[in-house]
Amino acid sequence: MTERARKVLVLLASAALVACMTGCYHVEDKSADAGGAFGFEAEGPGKAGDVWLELESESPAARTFTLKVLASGLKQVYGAAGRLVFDTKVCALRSAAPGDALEGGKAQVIAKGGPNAEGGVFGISRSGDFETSVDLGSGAVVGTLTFEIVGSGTTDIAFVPERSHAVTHTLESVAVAHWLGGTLNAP
Amino acid sequence: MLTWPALLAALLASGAADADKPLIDPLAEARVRVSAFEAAKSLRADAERSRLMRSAALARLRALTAQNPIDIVHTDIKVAPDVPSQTVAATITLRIAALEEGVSEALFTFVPAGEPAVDDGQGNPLDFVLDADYGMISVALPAPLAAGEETTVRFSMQGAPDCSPDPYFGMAFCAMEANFVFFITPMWVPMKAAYDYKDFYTSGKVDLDVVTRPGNVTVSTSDYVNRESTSEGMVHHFKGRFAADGVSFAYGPFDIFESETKDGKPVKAYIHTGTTAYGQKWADIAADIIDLFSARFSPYLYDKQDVVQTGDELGIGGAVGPQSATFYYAGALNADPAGVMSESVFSHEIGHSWWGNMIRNGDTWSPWLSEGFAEYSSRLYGYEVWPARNQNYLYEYYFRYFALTVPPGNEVPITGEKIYTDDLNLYSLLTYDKGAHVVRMLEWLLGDEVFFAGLSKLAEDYGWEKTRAVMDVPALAAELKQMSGLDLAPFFDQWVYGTGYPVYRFAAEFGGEGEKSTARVRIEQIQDSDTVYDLPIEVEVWVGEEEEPRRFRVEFDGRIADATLALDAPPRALKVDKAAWIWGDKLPALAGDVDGSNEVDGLDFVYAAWAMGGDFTSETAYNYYGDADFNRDGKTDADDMAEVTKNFGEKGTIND
Repeated sequence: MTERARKVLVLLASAALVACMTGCYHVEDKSADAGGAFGFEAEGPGKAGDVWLELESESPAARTFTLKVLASGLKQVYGAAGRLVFDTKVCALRSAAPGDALEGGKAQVIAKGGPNAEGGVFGISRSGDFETSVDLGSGAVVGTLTFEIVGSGTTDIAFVPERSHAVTHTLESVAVAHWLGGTLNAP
Repeated sequence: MLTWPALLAALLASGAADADKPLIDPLAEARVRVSAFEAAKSLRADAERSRLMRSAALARLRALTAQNPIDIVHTDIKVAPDVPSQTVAATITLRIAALEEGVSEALFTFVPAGEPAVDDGQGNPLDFVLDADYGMISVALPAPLAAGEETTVRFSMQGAPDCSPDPYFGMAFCAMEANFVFFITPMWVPMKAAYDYKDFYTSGKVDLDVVTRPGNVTVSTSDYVNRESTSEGMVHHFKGRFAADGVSFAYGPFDIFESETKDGKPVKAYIHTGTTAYGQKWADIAADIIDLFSARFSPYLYDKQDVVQTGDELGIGGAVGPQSATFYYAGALNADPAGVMSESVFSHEIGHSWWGNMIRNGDTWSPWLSEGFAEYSSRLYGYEVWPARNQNYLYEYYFRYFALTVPPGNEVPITGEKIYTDDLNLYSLLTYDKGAHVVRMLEWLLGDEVFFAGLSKLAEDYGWEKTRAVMDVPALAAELKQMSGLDLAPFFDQWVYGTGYPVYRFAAEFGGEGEKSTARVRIEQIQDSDTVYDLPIEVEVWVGEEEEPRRFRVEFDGRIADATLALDAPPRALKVDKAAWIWGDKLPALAGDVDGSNEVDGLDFVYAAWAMGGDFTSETAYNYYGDADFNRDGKTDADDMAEVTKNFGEKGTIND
């Protein structure tokens, strides 16, 4: 092999390595975008009268994913509170953020989410206007919940109905037909 | 924005108070607080009347140096109001008896309408000295009376009565409108000047003739006999069958709504202005109130009860409760019983039939024996007709209002000379609100059976018509001690003769599982004072899917109460003294747990979010919720929300 030929090979090899590295990265990223690396299989979508969870986004690099809290056809909702049970060795609820479904009038919408011993709890509520609620249309985004992957495994993320409520501005329960969670797979 | 009354009407009319909801009902508390504001106005108006009367009595007390040794054995009144001239022509004939030998002077409270004349009933003038500053008149008797000897003193006058409003609330206790006249305990009717309460009451009955223009209906504290047309006008005759100190009357174009008690005594509602749509309901409610108190306290003595609408002169919320006829601000009888709580005013005033009239307060320095008991009676009726938690909230409201508005150093005992403070808010909170609470704490301590048996015995032993005995604090304590066998001296020392209140901090821990579940509660008294309160305290635990909590009575050992409650299903919430039996504060050790689930979670967050900006003292920011006011500053705000977010996801535990 001539010196020129070795240089070409080295260059080709380097280019191949770079391409491989780049290609490998893009393959993993594409896989993650498709839910292949860790994924969430929702019980929903729910029907009218249901509240359910749905994957909004995930960030494998940050080991986080975000679920939407959706509702359909609920009347006069002031706030929603959920208690979730799941395997805390697999994931942890880190935060909650308001969606736009509860907006309206002079109220601001606030949210709080965090872990507890059995999983996590969250509250999403209007505030500052205690005399009006809002009707939720089809697939209304009440808020979002951001989780962190803390281990590998599969776990159901399920609501505890006794401590999950949608309430009106008179703080009466809004009838919810089903509280639908889902299953997280974190290899 | 909904106004409070509109909100109240809408919610109560819809029966929302008992609708399905997650465990707590902050809005029910808001609703009650709305009502409490209204009731508080009434109480303060009532308190003002009481305090004004007491101020006059105190003035007399300073003026007198000994008991006034006379009894008024009969009063005969003839009065002809003249609306155009705003005057009355009145003749009041008193038959008095000497209570000791050699009585040569008779002293009366008296603010005449115009210039008075006094004679012996036969036209022979009697000398008198009128003391306008104290509202008293001293009449020289024709000859000294021997003990038990009687004589007649007659007062005549024509002029303008003092119907000026009081300086605090603008309340006037009489008015002569174009077609409506009322006089509540008019000062132009002489009454015995009293050295103290024990000396104040007289045995006499009151006959009353009221001269009106034709076409009027007249009602009074005496019993109606008949009416006749005379050259002077229509004369309405009333005859008293029971001793009375507070004669009152009204006339006008009344619509009358009739009901009766279970034992057949007539109860009538008199309405002269505004809607009469609810007149029948109010008459029925007044009869129900009497039936309840008759069953719980003692039989209703009087022959009838008239609930009488007055005018705006009595102010908004003003009411007065002399025997057998009670008088109310105009709006009370126009209101829909389903939407507002006028009945709390009615039941307070009718409660005075027992506490003040049939059972007379003989303790000058304990106005709570009348007003606290009447207010307790009002709540007692409230428990019959409203969800219990509404009344519980009212008791809690009483305390919280006190805790928020009265600096610790300003409190005085509910029995004692200092009770007649010029601070009307303090007087009202102590005499009415804490007074009612003290009565209810006795109920809690003794239990219903013993407590009500004690009150019945009290009515038997101190019924004025039968015994001429008057109740005071020692008599109350003695009766209840005899009935219960308990040494109540510490209770009375702490709550009646003392000041201050307990502050409880409670922690809970839920354990076990299934049928072997437990709820442990540890309650510590953390008040600054050295006082240790040994009243047991109620712990409510919501178990499984049960809607109503299970109730436990937990005893203190010193400042600590610690109990593990065995349950046959998992507990889902725990509250300490949510029924507000005890005049004191109760704070959760787990700040942020609004609903008592022993965990700070999303529901607590939603409740706190709803309550943000709530103000205990505001009629518009009524989203205040006491259980979300963790720093007890009377506001539910960002500071309280910070407690929720700080402890979010935490569960309550007990650290030994």
